[in-house]
Amino acid sequence: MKIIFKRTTPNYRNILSTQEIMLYLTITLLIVSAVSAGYYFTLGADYGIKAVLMIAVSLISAYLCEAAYFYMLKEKDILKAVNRSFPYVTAILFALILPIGTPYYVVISGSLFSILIGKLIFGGFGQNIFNPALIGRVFVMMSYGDKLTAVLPSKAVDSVSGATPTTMLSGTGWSGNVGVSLTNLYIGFYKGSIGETFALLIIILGIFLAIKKVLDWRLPVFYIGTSFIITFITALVHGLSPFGFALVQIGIGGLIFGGVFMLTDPVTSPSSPYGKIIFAIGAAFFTMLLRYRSNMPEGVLYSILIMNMLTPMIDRYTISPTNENENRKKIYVIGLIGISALLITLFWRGA
Amino acid sequence: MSLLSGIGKIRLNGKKELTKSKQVLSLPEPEIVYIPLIIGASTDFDVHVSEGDYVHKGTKLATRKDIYVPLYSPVSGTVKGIEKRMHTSGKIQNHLLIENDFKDDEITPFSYDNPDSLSAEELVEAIKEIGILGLGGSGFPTYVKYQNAKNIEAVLINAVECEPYLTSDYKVMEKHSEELLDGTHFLMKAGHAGKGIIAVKVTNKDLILKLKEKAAKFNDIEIVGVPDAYPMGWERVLIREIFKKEYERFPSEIGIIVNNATTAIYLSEALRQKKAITHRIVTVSGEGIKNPENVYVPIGTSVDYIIDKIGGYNDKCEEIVVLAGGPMMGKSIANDQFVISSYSNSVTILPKKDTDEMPCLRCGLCVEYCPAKIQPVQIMNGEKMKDLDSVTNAGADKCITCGLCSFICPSKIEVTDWVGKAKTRIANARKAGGK
Repeated sequence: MKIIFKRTTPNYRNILSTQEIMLYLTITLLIVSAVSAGYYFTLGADYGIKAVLMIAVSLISAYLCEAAYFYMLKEKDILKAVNRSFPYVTAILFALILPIGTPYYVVISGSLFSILIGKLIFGGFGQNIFNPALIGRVFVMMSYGDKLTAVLPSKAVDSVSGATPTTMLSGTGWSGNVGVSLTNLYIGFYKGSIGETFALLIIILGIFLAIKKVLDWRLPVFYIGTSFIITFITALVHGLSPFGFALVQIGIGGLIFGGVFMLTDPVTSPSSPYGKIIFAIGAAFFTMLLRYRSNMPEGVLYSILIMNMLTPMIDRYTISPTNENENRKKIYVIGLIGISALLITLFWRGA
Repeated sequence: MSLLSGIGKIRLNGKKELTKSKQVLSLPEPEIVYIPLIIGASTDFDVHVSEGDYVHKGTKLATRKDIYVPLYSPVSGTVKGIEKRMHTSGKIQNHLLIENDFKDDEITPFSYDNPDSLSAEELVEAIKEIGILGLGGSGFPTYVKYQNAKNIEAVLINAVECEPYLTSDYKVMEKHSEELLDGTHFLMKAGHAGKGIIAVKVTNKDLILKLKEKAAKFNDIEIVGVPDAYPMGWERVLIREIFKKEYERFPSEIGIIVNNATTAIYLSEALRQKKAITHRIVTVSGEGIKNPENVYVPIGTSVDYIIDKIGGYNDKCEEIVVLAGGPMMGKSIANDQFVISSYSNSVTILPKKDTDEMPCLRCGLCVEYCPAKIQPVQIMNGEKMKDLDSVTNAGADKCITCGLCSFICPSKIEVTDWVGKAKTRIANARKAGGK
């Protein structure tokens, strides 16, 4: 028995660890993966196997990439280093935002890009500026855009349409038919990226993660909420049915998946409650802006990356104690939502 | 929970059951008591006795010079001189040695024949002369809060004891509920306050019932149950909970003075029984010892003596940490030779646990839970870059080192220490700037 002097306080620690946060996150992602694989199996065994293998291939590539990286860094315990870098979260997230028709070599190169360029070159876990999985997604879209279809390559003349609701809608100036019933849009039995269609399930998992303190509820709530308000007002002004339009707009394009799993990445989002709210409202604004006014309808993806870039700025702006000027901050938040809705209403091309 | 400023407190495993239902042990008095000649940061004392002098229990031994605080002898016996010894502050300090003759030869150091007839000013003077300090652990001289207090509406008695493992306040209150109300009345009178509020954790149901019964006789004292959360006992959090108000630096700005429950009880005993603070109840708990207990010992009793008397350390632990205080705010002391001061409420002995530090996720849980409503993660990052402006803007000097940011950090980073360093940086800059 020996009395040790410990320089630091406190000598009492919470049970929740980063490892556990990652575990909870992975469990929820695996649930989404399982449901997704199940759905694709109903379309045919080849679809189901493809979904499972895409996730597996992404995982294996990510692990090999990390192992090679730490080997080159002459890390003594490579396994430990890789485990402390959590490649599986990025790898599963990346696979889930790809459509079913994505060829394996695209999955592999995207997964490698996510890990290496998205995370490791910034100094590894906790240091990256952008969400690694989204970086990978942008890379494959730029490089292999035409290969990212919702149909298996061998079934080019399949009866199931290759178009996702987002591409269909953007083709009709955003006011046409989504091609999927509203109920099904939220249940998720339609083709989009393999993991992001199951909106209702993702919301339930998101609530679980928020309760477990794995993610901050403010991010998805303000992101999805602001998106709803923006599209609701846009529809109202332009004479569309506001509820139906807004519900379709937040149901498509992986908006809910992005809000729950991508926007909430703690590493790339601000750390204060006020900062998180500004970040989420900004992402909602850019999502809609890019959706309606750019050539690429993937607003969710780019909006989150744009806001990732602004995170250090937001953190700096919101550095003061969180209880200072609370009323003024609340007015700013309402103002930001209002301005976003106004601008999108003005920018909307209309039907 | 607040939308913009987070939760600011947390429910944590209090481990109070280790000692809460056990009887308080009155230990045999030690042969030598060591009176620390330090209170707070001050080590500047006038010593009134010299080596070889005979002292009674209650003889005035020394007084603190900068802010007047008298120290009275807890035992009768002979002064053996001054010795350097480990102190709860973690530093070696001067201690006055008194050899106990076990005769309990007591004198009355001060006398207030009819304490009920004292005016407010006389009461403040009495509080000063008795040497009452913040007995919940702060050691801040009580009379100072009352000396220049104006427009005080309420005296808030802090009986929360939110620090894990600690039950000493609870034990004192359990036995002395009459004195608690009596002491509260004295404090209210000293502050010209019309109202007294005693805040107890809702989980202490029996105590609340008992106090409510006693308080029913008066119509100016209210017993309020507060959530079982940490750091509910920090006056800022407590006032936020009860009054829904904030203040700049001191609660007196909004008409409130906060005192600890044990402080009120000792005040009542000192005035009514004309006794100085000579003994106190201390929680000695934790998994690092065999039998966690509340012990009743003279001020100046050495911790190793107490641990020996209650059964010693837990042999199963190879390495332990000895903390002056509880696990959240208590300081690790390099040995067990330090002694119990009047304001030492506890000693916590824990098996040493190593934490596996991970990179910062920037998850913001430390911001969400910070009771001071500052952003520990941002302060840590600013401090890593030695950026004075950024840690100042982030309000690092508002930190009270409650330890919640390190506690909550999923990456097990020593956030509290980083903020502590930033605080020191600000303090040094202020000193250098002559402000």
